[in-house]
Amino acid sequence: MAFSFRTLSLHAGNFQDRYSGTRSGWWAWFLQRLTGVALVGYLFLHIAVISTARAGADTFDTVLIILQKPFFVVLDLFLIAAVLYHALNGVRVLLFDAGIAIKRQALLFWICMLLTIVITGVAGYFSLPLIFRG
Amino acid sequence: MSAPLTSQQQKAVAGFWPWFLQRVSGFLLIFLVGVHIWMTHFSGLGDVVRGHQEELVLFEIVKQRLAQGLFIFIDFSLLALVLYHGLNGMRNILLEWGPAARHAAGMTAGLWLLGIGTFIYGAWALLAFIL
Amino acid sequence: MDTISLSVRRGSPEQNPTAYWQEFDVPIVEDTMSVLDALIWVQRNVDPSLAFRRACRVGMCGTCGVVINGREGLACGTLLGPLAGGEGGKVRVQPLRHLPVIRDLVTDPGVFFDHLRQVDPSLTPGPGLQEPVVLSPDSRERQTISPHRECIYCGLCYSACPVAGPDSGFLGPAALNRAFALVSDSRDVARNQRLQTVASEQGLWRCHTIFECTAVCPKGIPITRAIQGLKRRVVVDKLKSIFRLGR
Repeated sequence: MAFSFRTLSLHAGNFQDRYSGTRSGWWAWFLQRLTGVALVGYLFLHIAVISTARAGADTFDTVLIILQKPFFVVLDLFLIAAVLYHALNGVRVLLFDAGIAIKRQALLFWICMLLTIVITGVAGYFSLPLIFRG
Repeated sequence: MSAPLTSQQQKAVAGFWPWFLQRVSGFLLIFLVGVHIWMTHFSGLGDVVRGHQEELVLFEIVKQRLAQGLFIFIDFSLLALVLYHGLNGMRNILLEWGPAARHAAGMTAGLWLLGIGTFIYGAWALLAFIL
Repeated sequence: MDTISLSVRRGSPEQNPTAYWQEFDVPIVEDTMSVLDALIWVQRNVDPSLAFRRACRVGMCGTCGVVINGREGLACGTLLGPLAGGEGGKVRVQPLRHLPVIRDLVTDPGVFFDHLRQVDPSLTPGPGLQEPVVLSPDSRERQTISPHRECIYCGLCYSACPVAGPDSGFLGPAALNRAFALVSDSRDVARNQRLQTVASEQGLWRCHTIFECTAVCPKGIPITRAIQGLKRRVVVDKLKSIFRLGR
């Protein structure tokens, strides 16, 4: 099929077809996977950073001082958001496994999202001095 | 109501333990990760902001914290549980992907090796603060 | 008369490996016109080669399941007007996902029914039972089971399940729902056998409570609740056997 705006719009439609109809339960699961995989990646980085302690206290401190610069504090906030969402949605899934609130799954998803945003916001507020120092 | 599963049938209940332990480890991690993040990032925040302390995390600070038995326990169980939970989660995802599912036993063994290896490496790193 | 644009995903694996979209301008003859009516209109007036399945046209048979604007639905039970949103509106129709396409909107539901067969979908009566054995309509047991027996095996849940796609070995929502209806039925004596079948790596534990099946079910069956019910039964049995309470 030759290129035209019509084919382009149909391809866009194809993408839309896969994701537009999905609902909160799908987003909850997708975000759980996304944050889960991201956190596994972070875990290995985290262990690698801590293992610099084997090279001596000075090496550890040099690395850690860099990792506490404002840029990394901002990244830490993303980390906190990922951990919070994964934990909160984990509780949501545990409730379903116990047979609780299965009918209220959408509401619970939005509560997870709201709490993630609010608590990350509070953590961000208290981290402001670290982001804007020096 | 008919009888519960017989022991023979119980054996065939494949995939129960990974599923169940994922939930148990996840539940415990909520508390362990909560304490971990609070202690490393927020409990010393006031001191850093007021200038009593230069950084949140430095070798000496971690060393002092790990001088307490409770934190040794928390950090090692955190390392083990988070590795189990994370790699079990990866296994879950990989099992839905044909090529990995066809070699499920090998993949599971590989993930166990990776997990145990990483635990040993992580424990060795942590011991730098303790010994 | 309002005309809407109906995009249909077409093609068959043998003739043309690449599926393509074809657009048809369809007049909305009546407010109550369904997606199925539009497909029939196209077949009769524009292109007799357009392939789709249908039988009862009143949402009983579960034959005309397709994906409409990204959402699984029965073509006969989905009204065209509100979807298109008036003159010139677009409605996209695709075959069900996770099933091999035979031609255009016709899919091969073989895998879907294979999984259903795996859970032994018919009731196994105990030796002492004389027909007819009826569960009282207001008994708790009957009320638990009833919604789960409404299934018309249309396959919409299987198409909507994000796990059934990558893992074709996953039993899928409909089979698990059927197993729950039978496991919860005191007249059935194959409970343990069935629990054993569903409590497998590619059964219960593959369900991640994504709720897409429940969202698309044309009969409003709380499918996720059924799957969670099965999980709880297996967990309880398992824990009982560990603590030796089950003897």
